[in-house]
Amino acid sequence: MRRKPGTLLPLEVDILEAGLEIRRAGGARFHGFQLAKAISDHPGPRPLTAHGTLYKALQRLEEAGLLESQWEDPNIAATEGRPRRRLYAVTGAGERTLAAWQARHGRAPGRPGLEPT
Amino acid sequence: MSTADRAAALVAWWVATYSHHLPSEVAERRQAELASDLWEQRAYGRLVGAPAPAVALSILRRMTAGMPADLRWRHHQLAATRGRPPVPGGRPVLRTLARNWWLILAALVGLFEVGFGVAIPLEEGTSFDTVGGGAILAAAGLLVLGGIAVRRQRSRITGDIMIAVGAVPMLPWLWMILPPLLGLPVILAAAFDMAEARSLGERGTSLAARERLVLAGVVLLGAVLVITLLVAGPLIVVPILLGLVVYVGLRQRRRPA
Repeated sequence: MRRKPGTLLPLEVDILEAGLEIRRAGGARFHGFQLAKAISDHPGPRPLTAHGTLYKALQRLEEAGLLESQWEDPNIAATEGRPRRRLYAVTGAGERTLAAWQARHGRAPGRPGLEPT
Repeated sequence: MSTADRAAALVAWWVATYSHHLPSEVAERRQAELASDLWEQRAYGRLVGAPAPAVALSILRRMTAGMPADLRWRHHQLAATRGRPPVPGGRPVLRTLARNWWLILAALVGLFEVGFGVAIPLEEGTSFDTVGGGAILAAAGLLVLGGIAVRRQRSRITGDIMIAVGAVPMLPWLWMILPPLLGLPVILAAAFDMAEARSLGERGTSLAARERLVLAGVVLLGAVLVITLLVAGPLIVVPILLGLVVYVGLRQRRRPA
């Protein structure tokens, strides 16, 4: 998809907002399901984001430099008896792009009430 | 194995299927991310005491709603692997065609339905069946054409629904081969596009009640026009057009400068 630099799709805005909110709530990084849950809970209950759409959007944002990601330590996952998580974080460029988008669309930064999982 | 586990297994199979023949690094990352997501969702369901069938339904919904994005992702990954751009580069016309081929088909479907809706009773004689069938077909064609406009200007999802519904009358014409061949891809592409728009959170500007009324009125008016045309003959168009011109002219005069 060819887009002007700085433009964001609604889902991308949701991802960046939820990612920053998770960070503000104390979670340095977030994984895919945590993000889907956070987006679905706020601002009102809505279905969890589809797998294909979510991970495609995450990849797109990562390629654009708005997110960064890494695999978690396999020992932690093994200790907790679950698959390894891919952990994402919003980059400085992601924050700036979101702030510019919010300013253009007259939307207040931040979303209330997200908690780290 | 619970129903949620079975749903997760189905998703894992789907991920393995659409990531098949992709570079192993790309495929493994997607499969591992989905494995983690599925595990987390089931764990969360157990934590909050959600019934396994409800979790399974949610997992299946996420899978099906994401299928268009999955297939596009695969297409992009394959194109990247082969060193090709995902959409044809170079001429803007080719890029536009690659993105909007199904809308061109939809426009053809709309025109075909309107044309045939008028032609059937003219050729086969004006009986209740031919006039009624023709009117429905023409109204469906107007719905498709209206859907293309609504999709572009207001709401992608509403427009896609209008296009898909309007193209349905093309399907029963199996004996003609061409109409179903045109209609089916349009319906599938509209459903695909709608699923993508929904999952991307593209809500668009929903139609106001007045606009919905106008839209329904246009479709109804189209159907009535076709019926009138067929029952009263082509000359009836003249007074109808004159009436429309007078109406528009009066509205213009009433509007303040």
